[in-house]
Amino acid sequence: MEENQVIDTVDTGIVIFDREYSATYWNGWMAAHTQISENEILGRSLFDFFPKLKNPRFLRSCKAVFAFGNLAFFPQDPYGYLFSMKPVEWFRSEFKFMQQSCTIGPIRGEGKEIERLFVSIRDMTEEAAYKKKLVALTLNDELTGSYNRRFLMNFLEDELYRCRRYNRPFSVIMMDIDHFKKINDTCGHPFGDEVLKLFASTVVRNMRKSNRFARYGGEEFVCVLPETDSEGGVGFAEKIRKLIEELPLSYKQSQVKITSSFGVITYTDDINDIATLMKKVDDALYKAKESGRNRVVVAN
Amino acid sequence: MMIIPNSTEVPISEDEKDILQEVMNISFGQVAAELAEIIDVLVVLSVPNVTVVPGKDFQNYLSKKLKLSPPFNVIEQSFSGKLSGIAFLVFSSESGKNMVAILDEEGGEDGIQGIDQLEKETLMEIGNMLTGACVGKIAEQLDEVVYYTLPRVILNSSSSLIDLVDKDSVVILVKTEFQFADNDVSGFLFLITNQDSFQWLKEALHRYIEQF
Repeated sequence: MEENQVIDTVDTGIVIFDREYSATYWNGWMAAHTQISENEILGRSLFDFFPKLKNPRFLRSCKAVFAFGNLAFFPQDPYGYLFSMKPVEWFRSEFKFMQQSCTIGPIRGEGKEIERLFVSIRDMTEEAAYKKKLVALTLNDELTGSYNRRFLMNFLEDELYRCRRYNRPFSVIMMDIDHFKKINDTCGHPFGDEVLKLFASTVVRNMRKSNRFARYGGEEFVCVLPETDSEGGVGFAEKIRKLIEELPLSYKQSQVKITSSFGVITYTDDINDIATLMKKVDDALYKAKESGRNRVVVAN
Repeated sequence: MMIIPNSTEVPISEDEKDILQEVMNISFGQVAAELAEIIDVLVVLSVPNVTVVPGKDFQNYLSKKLKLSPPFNVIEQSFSGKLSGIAFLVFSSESGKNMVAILDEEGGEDGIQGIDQLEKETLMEIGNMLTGACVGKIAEQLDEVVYYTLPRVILNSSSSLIDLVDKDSVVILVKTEFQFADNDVSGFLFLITNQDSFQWLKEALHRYIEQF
């Protein structure tokens, strides 16, 4: 039959399975990309070959399609993939598994009863890679490679919500390079840029993996420390303050010493929004500047 | 301005509306039972209240009668076939977070995903299920099959729904309250159809009642 040839060679994966999740059809595309032949998988449970598929969301979706005859969607964003398989260009893909957009739908028998389901699988790896690149461009600061303000504000919103819901601590450090304008004026902007980069890399190298570091503006940076109490926040700020002070910088053979100031805030339940949080930590940083710079001040 | 749902501008008769209400009742009854089994929590679906309003009165109806104002989470999904149109599921902003708590207790605390992302996933799944179930069951009662597009989730939408509704369209307003276990997750379902499809629906409703 002509249509069988098409279904077998079309650049879309087609899988059909019954109520026991046993495969009853496995097209050529699936065989080619999974290295599992039709003979091997027919009549056997999909979960024998793809154990991760047996997750609540997939099972719920299948039950719903059996019950309602609707379509269930697993778009690449947010789901990534349903059937784990290598990307076509595995040797240069940044994804370990092929990114897929999948749709599950009903197949009715003679009596209009839904007897089986199909899944169609489209390869979205290339599109996902482009999207990832574009997203990175909108979330990163070009000069320092750290996150930008847009990312920071979104991350803070999430973090604030998480802390309120699970009643967990988190701290935020706002930091600023002292007399940065003077550095720029005396040593020139290219040198100033190097200082910014060095400052950013010093923080990033020393922070925890779960922390997020962003350029807030000019020479101002913010570090978010999830699961960190006030003591931990101040400790980290102090560590960075000392490291910055000791940076071996020189301009035209003469040593340049830079220092930085820090405001630290730890979430308490009277902080209702990000604006309040940022205002408080900004005030603390201002106090650090006022009282002589090169120091850490805790917000009250 | 007072909106009278049964005003002469609405191209549906009292009889037709009664049949539509009955189709909805049967559909939703089945949906509730099956949903409960699928998501494994008790689901209570209130008896749907069916109202048909002309597109141009939709906004007024929303704000005056339902007292529904932004922000809310909207899940938008198109369906096509003889019964075609757009389904909007509108939930309060808190509902999304409550749903996450019901479905994804294990996934909600991994700290990798943003809460917005998780909320979006959950709303997409539940929204797709509810729309598919309701539209699908109605279509099934009327012996038709419908095709769906990927649902679109709009979090904390503050824009008015009126922009999405063509003034010449007919809005079949199905108001139902969902309750999931002990969590209050309530929402409204709106089905918006075009004139052609509405005509088909009316004919299908007559065919439906003739079989009894």
